Amino acid sequence: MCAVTIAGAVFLFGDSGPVVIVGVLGLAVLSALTLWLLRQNDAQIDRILAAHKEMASTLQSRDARLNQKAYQSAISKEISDRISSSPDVSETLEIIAGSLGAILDYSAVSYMVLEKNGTILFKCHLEIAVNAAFMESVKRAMLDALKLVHDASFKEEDIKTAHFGAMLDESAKEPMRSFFNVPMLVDGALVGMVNVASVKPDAYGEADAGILYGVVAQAGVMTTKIKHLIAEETNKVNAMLASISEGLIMIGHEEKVVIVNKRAKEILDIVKQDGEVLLLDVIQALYGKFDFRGFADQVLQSNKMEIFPELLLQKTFFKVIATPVRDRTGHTIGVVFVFSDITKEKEVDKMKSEFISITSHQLRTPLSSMKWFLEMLVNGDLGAMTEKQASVVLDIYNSNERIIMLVNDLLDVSRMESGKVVLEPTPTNLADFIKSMLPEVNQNFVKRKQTFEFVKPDTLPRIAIDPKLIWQALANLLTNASKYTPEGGKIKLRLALDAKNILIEVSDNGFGIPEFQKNRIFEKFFRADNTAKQEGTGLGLYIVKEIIEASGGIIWFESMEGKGTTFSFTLPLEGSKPNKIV
Amino acid sequence: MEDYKKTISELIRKHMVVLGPNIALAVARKIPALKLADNGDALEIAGDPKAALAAVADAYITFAGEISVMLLGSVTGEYHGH
Amino acid sequence: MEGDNKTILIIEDEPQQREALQTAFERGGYRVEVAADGDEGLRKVREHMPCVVLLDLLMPVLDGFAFLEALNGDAALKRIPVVVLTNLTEREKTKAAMDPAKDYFFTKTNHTLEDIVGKVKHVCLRGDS
Repeated sequence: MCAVTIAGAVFLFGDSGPVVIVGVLGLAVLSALTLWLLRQNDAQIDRILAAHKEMASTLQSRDARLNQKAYQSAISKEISDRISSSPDVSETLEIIAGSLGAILDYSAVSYMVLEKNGTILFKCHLEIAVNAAFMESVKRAMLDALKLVHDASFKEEDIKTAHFGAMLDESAKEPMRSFFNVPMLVDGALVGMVNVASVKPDAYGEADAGILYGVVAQAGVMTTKIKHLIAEETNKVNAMLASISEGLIMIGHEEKVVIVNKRAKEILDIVKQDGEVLLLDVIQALYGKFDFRGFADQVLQSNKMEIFPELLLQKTFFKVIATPVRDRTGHTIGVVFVFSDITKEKEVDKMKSEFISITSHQLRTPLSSMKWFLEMLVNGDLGAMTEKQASVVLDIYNSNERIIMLVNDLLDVSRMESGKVVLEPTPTNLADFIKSMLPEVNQNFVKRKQTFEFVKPDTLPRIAIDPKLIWQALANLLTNASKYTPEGGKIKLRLALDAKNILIEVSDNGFGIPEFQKNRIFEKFFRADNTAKQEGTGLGLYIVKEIIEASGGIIWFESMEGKGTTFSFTLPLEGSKPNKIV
Repeated sequence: MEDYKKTISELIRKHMVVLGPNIALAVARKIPALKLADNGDALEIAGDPKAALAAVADAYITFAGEISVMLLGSVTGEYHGH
Repeated sequence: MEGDNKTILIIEDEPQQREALQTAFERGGYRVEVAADGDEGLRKVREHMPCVVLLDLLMPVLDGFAFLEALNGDAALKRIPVVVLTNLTEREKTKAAMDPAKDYFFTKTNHTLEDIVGKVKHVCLRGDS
């Protein structure tokens, strides 16, 4: 109860000499009551409203009472709706001022808003024509009240005046005869004031003012609550941002830096003692290394996430991921950049490369020695051998060849998976290129007495592809075709052109692929049941598929067991993009 | 007694500026122990002056809420030391 | 005879591989000079001005990459073709040091001695004009 608190203050008052304690009392009472009030805002409002209800019930007219109740509910609802979406003081006061006509009779209703920059917005709605002196009186009355509460002085030029409604008319002689003010407080500070003034004397009683006080108090409480809520959420977000290990920068409307966390400032080496970080600061910090603004534009245009894979800043490598930020309605309100330290990843990458490099060398060294010595043996360079010896040596040679192929395949796969295989597209005439490479695989057809046919259109446009990788894939398909077709069979290579792609087909009339294994053909290490057990690594088609897909094409096959197989793949006319096969 | 009168008068006067003279006086006049002049001066206090101050402060706070608390604080804070 | 007694230089640190290559080329009618590292290789290049150099990459003292740079940076030597023979997969790194107009790259395990001798014959012949 208020009285208790007051009693407490008075108690203090009474304990020692009044004059001494009054000083202390002032502070004590102020703080205690303010705190108490803030904690019991709702209770307070209810009490004010209850007290005024009492007053209202003494009013004669039942209609007036109902009117006031209706007014209160209506205005309370409207205010709460507006405040929750935008706690703007002048808007709130505008609503209140605009609505008073329902319950009060006045000559003018005005409000003042204390803006953050020190100016005062003074708006006066005139119900009837009044003279300048009247408006001046209203202004005075409000300023006096403001001074009392706010304890600051206002210069004339700080006050921006506007009036609406009826005209200022010097012939209107009536002065202001009664008024009352209702100050609005948010978070314990004065933010604005409503004034109701009339040319009639004694126009306003407690009941009238009471309703308005209740409404304004409620508005003040709501705005305060929302301000606190916003501050709380902001603090939560800030705490979160401060703690994450990635650098975060968000650019919002009008290129304003909305978010920049501590890590981002560290990464960009932006040292700002005070003041905000501006877009300019960021652009400068990244000058010559990363086109920040350009990248943001790119994200806004494509409206999806974009990644800048590697950026070196202060001896550390970062990956930059930028993505658009959307509000609840789906509108893009900005772009958020995440700077992620990839030093570790790069180190691991480096280790992988080194491993692959060393391993390949280590494995291949003995293999190539064996290959050449076996070659010399087979050729008789190291003396004649018995038939049996020659036969065995040839077997060893072939085994060695198989291991070499396996090592090659393993290394290819390993390199692909580490992103070491980079597509380097260059404009190529596919037909001419293939023709020049065919001798490499022709041996197979000759050895197995197979016929080979190469069909191509008269003209073929050049397309951007990586020729060595495409040949690797095609050679694999051709060698397979030969391998899995009996002697005397037929292999055909056909090139065709359609609207968007070049089509390449390798067909044979060989053993075909068993039905139930067709869906596993491109798997790593998969070998169909009817393949010769001695040869093949099971990696060839996997590698082929990776190459074709990285080149922007698709690969498929048709096969019938005992009849033959056709492998087909496309290469887009628009060409391949340089990228890593991963 | 005089100090209380001064305090109460000051309180009422401030409320007259903020609330408007009519309403401020109307609220204060409801306290039976107080006899007030039209300019807000407390002419006479009947009975316990502490209780009277409490009553008028309470009445204002009930009516106007936080703003009255601030005004009360400013009033009582004005008198420093002996 | 195939090689026409032309001089070739084999720079290879692995003795077995060096021996295998030497045998193959001598059979092919070439005069073979050998070196076990890039440093010795540079000396011998200057001394003998071979019609082609067969170069391994991983070697002590001065490796293949450094040799290439030195060779292709020397006005007197830079016209000598180099056939890089290696088991490394460092194609990209090597390419940077090679001169595409005259140099070749082979992965040892993928080519028989016969292939290599054939390629060298082709290169050496060309070098004549």
